[in-house]
Amino acid sequence: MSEARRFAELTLTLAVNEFKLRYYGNVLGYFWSLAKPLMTFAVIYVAFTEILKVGTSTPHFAAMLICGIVLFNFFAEATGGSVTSLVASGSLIRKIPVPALAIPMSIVVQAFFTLCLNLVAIGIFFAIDGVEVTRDWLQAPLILAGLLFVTTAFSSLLANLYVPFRDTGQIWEVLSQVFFWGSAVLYSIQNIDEPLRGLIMFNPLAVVMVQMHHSIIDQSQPSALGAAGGGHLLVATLIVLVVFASGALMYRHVRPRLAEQI
Amino acid sequence: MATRVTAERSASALTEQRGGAKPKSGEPAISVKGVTKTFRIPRHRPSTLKERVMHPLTVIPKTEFAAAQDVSFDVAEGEFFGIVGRNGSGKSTLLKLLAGIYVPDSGTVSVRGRISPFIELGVGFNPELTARDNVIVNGTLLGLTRAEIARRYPKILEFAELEEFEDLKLKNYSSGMLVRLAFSTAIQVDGEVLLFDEVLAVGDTGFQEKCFEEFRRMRRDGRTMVLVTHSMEAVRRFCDRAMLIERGKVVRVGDPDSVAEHYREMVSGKAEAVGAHHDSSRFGDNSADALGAWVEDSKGERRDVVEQGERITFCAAFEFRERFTEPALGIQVKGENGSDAFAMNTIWAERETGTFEAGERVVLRVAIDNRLGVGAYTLTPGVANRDGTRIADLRLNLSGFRVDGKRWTGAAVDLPYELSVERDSGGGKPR
Repeated sequence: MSEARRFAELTLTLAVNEFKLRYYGNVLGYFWSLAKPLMTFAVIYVAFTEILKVGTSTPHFAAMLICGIVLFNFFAEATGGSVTSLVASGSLIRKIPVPALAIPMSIVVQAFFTLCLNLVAIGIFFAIDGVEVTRDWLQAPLILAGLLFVTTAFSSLLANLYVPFRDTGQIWEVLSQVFFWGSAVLYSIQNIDEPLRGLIMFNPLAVVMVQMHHSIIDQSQPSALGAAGGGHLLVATLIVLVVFASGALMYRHVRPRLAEQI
Repeated sequence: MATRVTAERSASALTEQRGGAKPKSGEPAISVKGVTKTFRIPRHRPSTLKERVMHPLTVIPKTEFAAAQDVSFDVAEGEFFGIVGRNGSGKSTLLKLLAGIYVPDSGTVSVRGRISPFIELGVGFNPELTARDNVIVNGTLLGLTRAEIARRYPKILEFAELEEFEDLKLKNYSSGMLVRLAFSTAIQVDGEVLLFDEVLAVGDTGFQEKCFEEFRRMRRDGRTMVLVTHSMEAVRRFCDRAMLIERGKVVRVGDPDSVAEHYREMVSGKAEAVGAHHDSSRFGDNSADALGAWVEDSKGERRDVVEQGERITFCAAFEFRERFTEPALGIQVKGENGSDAFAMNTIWAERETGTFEAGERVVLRVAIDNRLGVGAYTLTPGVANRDGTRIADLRLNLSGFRVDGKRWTGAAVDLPYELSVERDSGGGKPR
């Protein structure tokens, strides 16, 4: 079996099993997986529209909010789970020759399964909110692939960083908050003025969200390109590539002593 | 004890195969060249990014431990190769280097063909999942494809004799059933090179026979096998060649008999003894000296080697440098791995020792019926003040002796026992 195939099969098998453990033999499992984004949505929606009275001006605010929350939830779950994953799987890595990166990757894949399930919830909200189906929906798989890549890059870097640096978890918890507020999850980018808007559009996750808003929910929303221009997109892409490359380099550095360090 | 008996019987079944397999080609199946592996254990942990940023130039002090030092050997295709050594000699590290779990610091390890690791069985098993799901995870971890697992799954269940329990969650399995499932999966990997870490004795007698039958088949097929073990019996019975290592260095590679003999001598401290004796160190306030420690037989003669079951006496001699009232005298007997096998002193025995003037000597004698397990031991004599709070002289592992007996069990003691084996008529059901 080729290395790549072994890696893919292992990733998938581990992901499927984790997924089964979470949702099988548990009738409410699926509903619980929905409950988290729905609760977050409910709290934020009420806070914004009823208490702060800011969301009402944005058309399809409810659809944008649930979409943003589900997508960000995926990112947070995958990266948060990946941080400690290599160290937590010491019992595998110390006892069997295994392509270790498959472990954080399986967490990303498993979170992606959950995302796919949650897309159903998004669909229901879209229907209620009167979001139109357009030809631009064909972009959705591409945007999701982009999100998957961003998440993979961060997850791999975090998992490897945690091996020598055990405070990576705490640091990432704080950074996740920054990402949450800086990724156009809770707002439309058109309500944000420069220079903050430009700053936000350097964030690859914000690029994903903004493009999602534009292509899927409301075409009157600016696209990622329209929101900040090509320069920002290039920088955001570079950031993802740098994170990805750092993860790969870190793995090369960590790998030879992995089994003894965890 | 029951498992031990059956293990011996099953082991003998493999004997006839020894020397049967001949190398098929000139190229070795395993080639290890100049491999060095050092473990660095940081003295304080865990290190953090914060620490690094605040003190970028600080070097975290690390204790280095050389688990393999310039190790080189080849294993021919179809050969049964044994790796022996004491606890902590680096033999398991070597096996993990072969498996690719550890990466060598320098040197090369090359293995031709797929590896079947029998280093740890049932890796990745999750008690909340069914046998089927667990076989899939374990098999994938071992390097099987999902298609291969699907094809071999019925065979795995059949071999493990668990067809009726395939939908049962693993948490409801007995330990015997778990081992059978794990072993049956591991066997399916069917690699060209098999690596074993002393897992030969698994399951009940009937299942063991099946396992050995499977090994015999693999051997006939010309698979290469590497076994890491403590058991000289296993080495003599199974291996075509063996290697003795100590402190990460190769001491000897050769025919199993000579290696087993060398090991026995090494453990008894006769050969270029490495280990406990040489770690000898001493502390105390010098108000008294421990002069020596030795073992005597029932005739009062000094012995380096004693038999199991005979009456022996541990002796220690002390000399006082100043006037000493009620000294506490004691001897510790330590096993190969440094653990205390037996310890006694005058405080526990509630024995008064009297007063000694400077220059006076005393000999402590403790007689026992020797129930120590076969192996090497060291003696640590000590002298302290009356309540043992101030040590005058303690000499760690000052001298050594060996216990011989019918068999080596690996245990610290060999107590008399009664053994019974009863068929459990209600058996076969999971706990």
